[in-house]
Formats: sequence, C-alpha cells, structure tokens
Amino acid sequence: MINFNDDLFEVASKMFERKQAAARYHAVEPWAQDLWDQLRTSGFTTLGRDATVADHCALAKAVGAYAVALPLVDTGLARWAAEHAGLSVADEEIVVCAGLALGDDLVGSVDASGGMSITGHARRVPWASRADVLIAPVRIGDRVRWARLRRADVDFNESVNLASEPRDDLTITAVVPTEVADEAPRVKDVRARGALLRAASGVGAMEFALNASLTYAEQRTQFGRPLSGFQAVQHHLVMMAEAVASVSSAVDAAVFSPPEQRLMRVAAAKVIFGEQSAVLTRLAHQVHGAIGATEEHPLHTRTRRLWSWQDEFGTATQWAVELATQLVFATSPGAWPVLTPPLTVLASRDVGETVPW
Amino acid sequence: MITFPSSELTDDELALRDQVRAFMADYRAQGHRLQLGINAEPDPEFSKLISRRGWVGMSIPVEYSGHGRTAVDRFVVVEEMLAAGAPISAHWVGDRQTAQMLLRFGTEAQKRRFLPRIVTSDVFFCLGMSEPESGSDLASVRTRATRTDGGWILNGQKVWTSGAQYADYAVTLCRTEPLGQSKHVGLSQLLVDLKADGVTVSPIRLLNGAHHFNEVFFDDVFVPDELLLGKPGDGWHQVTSELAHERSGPDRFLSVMPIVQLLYERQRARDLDLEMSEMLGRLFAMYMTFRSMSLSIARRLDAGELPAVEAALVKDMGTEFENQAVAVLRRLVNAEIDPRGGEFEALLADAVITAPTFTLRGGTNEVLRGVIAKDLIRNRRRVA
Repeated sequence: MINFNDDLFEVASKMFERKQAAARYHAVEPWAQDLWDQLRTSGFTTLGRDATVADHCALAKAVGAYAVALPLVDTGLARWAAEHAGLSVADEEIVVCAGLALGDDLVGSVDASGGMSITGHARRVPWASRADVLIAPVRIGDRVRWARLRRADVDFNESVNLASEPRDDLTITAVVPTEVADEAPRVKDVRARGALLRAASGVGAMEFALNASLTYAEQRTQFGRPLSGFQAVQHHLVMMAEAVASVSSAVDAAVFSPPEQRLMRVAAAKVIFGEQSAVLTRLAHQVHGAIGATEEHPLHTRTRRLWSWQDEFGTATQWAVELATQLVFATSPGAWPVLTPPLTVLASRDVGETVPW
Repeated sequence: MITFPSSELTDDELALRDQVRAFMADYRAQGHRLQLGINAEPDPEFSKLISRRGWVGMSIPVEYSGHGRTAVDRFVVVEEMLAAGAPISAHWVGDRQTAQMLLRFGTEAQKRRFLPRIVTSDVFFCLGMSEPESGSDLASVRTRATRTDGGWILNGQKVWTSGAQYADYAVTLCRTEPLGQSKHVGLSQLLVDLKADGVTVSPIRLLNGAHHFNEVFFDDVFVPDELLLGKPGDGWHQVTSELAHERSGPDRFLSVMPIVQLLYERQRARDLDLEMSEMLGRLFAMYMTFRSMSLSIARRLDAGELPAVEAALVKDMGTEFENQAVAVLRRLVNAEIDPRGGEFEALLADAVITAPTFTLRGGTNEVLRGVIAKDLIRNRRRVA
C-alpha cells in the first residue's frame, strides 16, 4: 500500500469515512455540501502550489478509496495551474480547468478598444456546472495564455461520466475573461498532472475493490467452502492484487520522479492504470457475482469511476502513443537506455516537467 | 501487505551502470550473438571476463574475496547484461542464489571454499530440485541420502536440471530422514560434485533442440560431510528462504528485451504509424513499471528484508508479460518468421518457441499465485 503521504491520506480518509452514504445509483451524483464545507474548513479545497504533488495524490487516492463525489481533485489541479499562471482565485471559489481535452479550442481576440473576448468550445469539463470560476488555455495569436472566466458567462450542455460525476461540454461565445495571465504552465503539463491525479484516485478505488473482493470471497460459502478456497477464485484475487501493485508502483514512480522524467513516468502510469484497472474491474465483478452488479452494493461506486478515470485526461492509448512518440527517435542510443533514464540525450525530448510540480 | 515503494539509482549506481553499458556495447560491437536471458548458451569465458571486472558475486563480502557490494549493485549489472543479450548462464545460479545460500547457511569452511571461486567464475552451480514425480510439489522429493562413515550415500534422480552439463556442483535437495508426518521435515541440501563416481548427466533437449535441461542420476554417490549445506534437516527452510532473491530479479521480465532493442534500432529513424506507436508505448510502460518493482525489491533486500510475496508477484506478472511481449513483437512484425532469417528473426523464433518455459522455470505461475493468494487471504483475516 502506497499512500504518497500517509498522514494526509489518513486525515482525509477519516473525514470521508464518516460521510459515507449508502450506495445508490444517481443519474447525477448529489452534491454533499456539508462535506464540502468541512473540506473547506480543513483547508483541503484551497491547496495549490503550496502542497506537493505527493500531497495532492494522497488526497486524490482518498477520494478514490471512498468514492467522494466532490471536485476536490479538480480544484486542486486548477489552483495549482492558476497559481503558476498568476491568476487569482478566491478561497471560497470553486475553480476547475476547462479546455484540456484533445481537440478543445478556445480563441481570444482583441477588439479595437483593447478589450479581449474568448470564443470556442471545451468538452467534458469536470464539475463545470458546479464551479464558480473556470480557468482555461486560450489561443491568442500564436501564443497560449491562461484566462479566468465566470462560469455564469458560459453556456453548457450538462452531462456526466460513467460514474454520474458531472462532465460538461462548454460553448463559449465572445466571453470577456475576468483575468488573463502572462505566464502559462503548458497545457500538456496540466493535462499530464490531471492524468496522474486520476491514476492516484484509481489506486484508492482499486484497493477498495480488491479488499471488498477478498472480504466477500472469505464470507460467501458455496459447495461447503468459502469462495476463497477455490483455486480459480484465488487466481482472480491474485490478478487483482497484481493490478493494484503495478498501478500503485507506477504512480509512485511518477509522483516521486525526478522532474526531468516526470512526463514519461506519468504516461507510463496512465497506460498501466488503463490496462490494469480494466483487468481489476472485470475480476472484481466476477468474484462478487450478481450482487456486485446491483445498485445497493458499493462495488459500482468504485468500478464505474475506474471505467471513466482510465479515459480521463487522456486514454491509455493516447498516452501509449505519446510515450512511444517521445522515446523513439533517430539519435536515441537504444530502447533500454531511453526506458531507464537519466540519459543525457533525453533532454531533447519532451519527457520532463516544464513548471515545478 | 504487498508494497513496492519506488526508488531511483544513486550517482554511484549510475556510474556502475554506465561502465557495464559501455562494456556491453563494446562486447556487442565484437559481433557476439545476442542471447535471450537465462536461456543463453553458457559461455564460461564471458563469465570469467566479467568476473575480472568485479561483476560476479558482487554482494559477497570482502572477507570471502567478494566485492561487498549491494543487491542493487547486482541488480544494476544484471539488468544491463540481460537487456544487452549477454551470455550470463554459466555463472547465473551461483551468482544469483548459491552465494546467498552459502552466506546464510553454509559452514565457515564451505564459505571459504566456494565463495572466492564463485567470484572468479571458477566454480559453477546448478540446482538439483525437480524430480520425475516431484515438480511443483517440491517437498515430495524422493532422492535420499543415508548416513555412512564421514558422509552420505546419495541415490535418486533429478530432472529439468539446467546447466548440469557444465556445472561443477549441483545443490541437491534430498531426504536425509525417513518421511514422517510432515514432508517438509527431514530434507537437506547437499553440494554434489558432478564429476563424482556414480553421477550420470544426460541431456533433455528443449523443443527447439537446445540443450539446457538434463536428467541427473545419483547411484550410490558418496558425498562427504563437509558438502552438506548447513545443518541436516534444514533443507526446506534453506530452499524457501532464498525465493526473494530467486524470483524478483530482472531475469523475470527482460528475457526478450534484446529483441525489442533490435526492433527499436530498425524503427528509431522511421516515422511510426499509430498502431505501432501504441503497441510500443504499451510495452515501454510495462518495462518501466516492472523495472521499478524489481528495483524496489532489491532495495528491500539491502535493507535486510526478504519480500518473498512481492517477489512471487513480480515473477508471475513479469513472466506473463514476457509472453505478451512476444505476442506484440509478432504483431509488429506481421509476417512469417524465418528462423534462419538473420539475427532478429532467429531470436524472435527462439523466443516464440521457448516462451512456454518462462512461466514454468523456477516455480510455475500457478504455484506462485497460490503463494500470493495465501498471503492476501491471511492479511485480510488479520484485518477483519
């Protein structure tokens, strides 16, 4: 078990444990204002650059472990990006990043009087309908700058992910930003950090699913013995444990990576997360039998998240392509050296962070 | 609790890596054929060559003429050798586990006698474990040694003994007391001189005709007292306590890396199509992750831990992955494989044909999963 920051993980877990709701299917996850207030009082909703990436991942893991339906992870990402960009966000505001999906395009134009307005679209923005403020990368001429928008100024089409968490499509038409930054963390860095946070949440959800499966396999008796006594079931449990171990190892390697290798480690972690969470979710449901596929059983609160999180901030396929694109190049000394940095020639590739994580 | 905390190589470890990497680049430039992991053709001259560099028996203490290095230092050397397709088989067993076994359980005289010669590749070991009626169920071995003046008389048969055709000694698990209530009691390990009277080694050829395996027959073989490892009756404990060393290493996921390297060399100057990028990217992610996990175990060995369950997990996952990697390589090649078609194709042919052994040797994956499952369930009961 790797918690990235044990103390923070424990504190957050205790808070979430007390607020666990009974498992139910909702078309859209209901908003738990009291828990959000408590998180705000504890200072968890305003963490940005002041917290380490390990701290953010510890919270993300707790969110996954307890299936917390609140934008804690996404505000953490947005505040980190906003602070790097130099955009201001008030403590009480809920802020999320928009415009990180591949294909999103927001364009800023400046009118005769020097005022700026932004037009474009952003797809599947996490928790946009719940946010007060959005920050987004905007193309202005040949530069990308980060802008701060009021959510109220934006049109959206509300939707959800497979776990009923809000993921909204935004249409932005000549919206005047409340602030535009000169400094910008690259979109790629922010997307990668989002991918790492989703994988960290995934570790929490995967551990829950493994433990629930072990408990159930011990309790449930068929043919006169517990399911855990059947070799076929034991092998399912082992493959689930392997899935958890490999993903948490890959995420840990990315969290504690040297800065110049961060992006390639994140890419690897998101690929492994995508592959292994697919294995784990299938087997967790197989071990649980039909009861695990009902709304009253809590398993779906984790497995549905895993099915969505494996695709968010880039699918395993997209990150695999990115990893190969960066690591296969004419002047490379070979496959093994590029997979085992540090390696001087990798400095010419886009495999490290460009702002401090 | 199964856990794999990540770590990075230190500057000293990286310096060692660079030395080995440069050495292997030079070795390959001399035109030597690439080898696939522990299926490599034995090459005692190569073993002696790297012994002179200080890369065999690295973690053996200086007082036994070793180099007093860490498990991670050995990890660094071994992963570079395997990735570069080095012929590591001759010294492999002695370097990976017999040295550890001697250090932990051997008598002082055994340590003085064997450890310095492991370091110089002047003595090679093989493992006499499996028997015709005793595969995964290792404790059911029937080979037995009975007491005689000044030693033991050994009778029985071993099978699947890799390297017995060139090794000097076989670390032989045998029954030294009659079978009682528990089959784990009354077992011992003898260091059997393969040149001794009454020992017969005969080859069992692999499905590609290669000679790795042997049958070894013991017919009234005299084994002197000083070649009983540690204490009589300690055999099962000795065998199971070294599993963390045996199962966690880079040999459990790097067998086909030399083929990946050759493919990479062909492709690196070309534009990759989307499908190839995806397949390579997924392979890369797996290699990076298994490497982290294996390194994590080496660090824990250095901290004095014996993470046997984690090691079983790496071996199960790593060897399954090696099979997947072969499948991916075949999809990338997308053509008939000609075993005579040059280095790349010959190696790929070998990999396809020998891949079934990856998940069998050193404990089948089914047995490993049994070990892991038992640990998972035991931990769960403790929590509940």
